[in-house]
Amino acid sequence: MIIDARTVPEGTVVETEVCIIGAGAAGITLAREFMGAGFRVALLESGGLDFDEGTQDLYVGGTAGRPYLRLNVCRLRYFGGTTNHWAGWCVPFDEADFAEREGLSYRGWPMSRSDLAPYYERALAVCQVGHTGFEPGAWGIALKDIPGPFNGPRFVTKVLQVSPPTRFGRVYGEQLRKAPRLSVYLNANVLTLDANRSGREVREVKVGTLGGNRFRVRARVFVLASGGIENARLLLLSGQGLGNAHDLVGRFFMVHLEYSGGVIAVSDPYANFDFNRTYADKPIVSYVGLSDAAMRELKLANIRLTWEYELGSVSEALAALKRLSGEGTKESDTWSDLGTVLGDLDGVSAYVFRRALFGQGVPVKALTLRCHSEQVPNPVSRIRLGSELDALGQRRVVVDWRVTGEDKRQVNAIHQLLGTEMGRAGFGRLRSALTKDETQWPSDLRGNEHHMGTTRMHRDPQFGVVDENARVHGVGNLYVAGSSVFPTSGAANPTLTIVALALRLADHIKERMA
Amino acid sequence: MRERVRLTRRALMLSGVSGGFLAAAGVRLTLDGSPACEAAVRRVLGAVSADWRGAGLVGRAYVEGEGLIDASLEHLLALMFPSSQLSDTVKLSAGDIRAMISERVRRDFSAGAVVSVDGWLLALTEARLYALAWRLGDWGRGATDA
Ligand SMILES: Cc1cc2nc3c(=O)[nH]c(=O)nc-3n(C[C@H](O)[C@H](O)[C@H](O)COP(=O)(O)OP(=O)(O)OC[C@H]3O[C@@H](n4cnc5c(N)ncnc54)[C@H](O)[C@@H]3O)c2cc1C
Repeated sequence: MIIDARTVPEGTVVETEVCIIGAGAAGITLAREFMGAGFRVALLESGGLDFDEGTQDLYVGGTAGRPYLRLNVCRLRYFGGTTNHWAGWCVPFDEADFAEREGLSYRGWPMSRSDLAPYYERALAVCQVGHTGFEPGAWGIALKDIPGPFNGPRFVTKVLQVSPPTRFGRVYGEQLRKAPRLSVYLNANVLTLDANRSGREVREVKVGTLGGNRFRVRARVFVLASGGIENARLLLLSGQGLGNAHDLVGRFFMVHLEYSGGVIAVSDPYANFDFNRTYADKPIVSYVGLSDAAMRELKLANIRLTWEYELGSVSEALAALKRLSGEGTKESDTWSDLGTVLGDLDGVSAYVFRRALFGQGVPVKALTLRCHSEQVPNPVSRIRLGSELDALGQRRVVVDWRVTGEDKRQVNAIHQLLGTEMGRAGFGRLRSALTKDETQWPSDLRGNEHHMGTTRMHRDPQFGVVDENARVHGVGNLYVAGSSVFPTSGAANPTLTIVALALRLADHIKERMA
Repeated sequence: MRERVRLTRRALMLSGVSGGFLAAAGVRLTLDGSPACEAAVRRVLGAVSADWRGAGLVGRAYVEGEGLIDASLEHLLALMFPSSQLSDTVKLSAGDIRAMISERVRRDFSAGAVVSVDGWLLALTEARLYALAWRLGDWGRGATDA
């Protein structure tokens, strides 16, 4: 059943058994798992079925520290959440991401990749990804086609799979609407989670709508699934800060770092570099990353490296076009002129295409490197409450995003390894865009839309907001779903792992409710 | 004051740094810049690099960027060709010279004997060889013409 919360009479107390806050990837996955489980579920969603400016404005926030994306642009506040515009890139975290690593602080998950493997498999189906293989071989990329040093042991070629992309609200909304004992409340903004006197149980949540009415929802179990930033905001807005006995809520805010990594001058300009590319005919992207062994042994953070061919500049292309239309062109010039033009028209020109048109291929002048790297967990990087209020009278959020010298040392070490490995294997030479200076980054550095870490998971309450079951330490009936529980950020896009963890949490809650 | 050299990718590629490579040729040579020594080094460079100007630019960027205290011809020759290596190259074909230098470069990379030249990560061997190309600029031009 779908209920417009604006029609719920002021002061109503809704009684349910499991209350989920937020209907994005995490919340909808949980709700689906509870369909037919025999208990009542209320799914409270801030937005309606479509985008609405007034609701989206509740996501406006400030930034302190490093400039960061506008908070009402890098997430969406309506049914389906940010999956209403996600790109659908799906890949599990690497084994090394889960491991504790000597000498690196705040690392390690209270589970391994193999613990999560069955949930990853189920998560792929939820994200409408039909194929379970993440090995390049499973997609016809043979090891023999991958040149050194990208076939191990330090760097390897990896594959991520692309979801249609699943718009969770649109795809699963109808199912939820029809499910017995499940009520979806739209336009229902949770304002606070109110604990009992001891603070050890959440008794109810207060809900407000932009229409002005207020009501409460009581349940046995609550799950916060309102996104990587909002989960922390709601805990901070509740009482003195629910689950915040150790001042960890909102801390360890991480995103993935994206920047131009430099240029690779290649040894063989006629080689096939297509082992690292996007595909038109397969729902995958192949890329280069560190092997698990390299990350473990060399204590390196995770990274994703992609590249683009550089075949010629715009001005060279124009000059070439002119020459081609003129007289007296030498044959050898014609080949390279066509190559230049093709490069500019196409941007990324696949090897097969290059060869089909030009026989021996168009030489690649260089590969330009794009990096997508892990941020080191850092308690100073955080989200907190600001002084401005939103339309519901709630304090807006302020993101104080930090990038540290440790982040820079890590990527510098990876680039040094990449440069030496490419030289050793005879692949080419790297001109890294990174300087040694630990405070300096390429000018196009940006933190992306993957919000992680603000309610991190750790068995010990001194290091984590939630325990290994995603239950808030010290609060018996409150769980958190979403990337805010990630203790580390890896280099993987977060949603597949969000869904896998939500499935795992659903199993746990079903067991608890039985 | 001289302007700092900025290496373009073109210079680097033409130098042969990123491509197939280097190495050298016979008689016992003194590493002193004598005509016989010059000729031998020219052969090595010729086997390795298609473009003397590019190689020289990389070499100059290395010497200036690293602030090498001793970038004299003799010192560079001694670093690049310890014992009788330069003399040995006289007996080698261009292909063998290339293979020899390639192997040295590979070993440098494996051992972490690398240097950053205007941001490019190069093996010490290639950086030194190109520093020689720069020092021997006049010969270099001669070799391209040849
Ligand atoms: C442009 C873009 C591209 C992306 N591409 C990818 C990609 O390719 N791969 C990938 O893995 N990830 C991608 N992401 C990230 C992905 O969208 C998120 O990881 C994912 O949506 C997070 O799921 P979630 O359920 O935790 O949060 P959300 O999907 O954001 O859902 C949270 C829900 O909670 C609701 N809510 C918030 N506050 C309240 C409240 N107080 N009361 C009630 N409800 C509330 C919101 O309205 C929303 O519906 C992308 C993100 C962006 C912005």
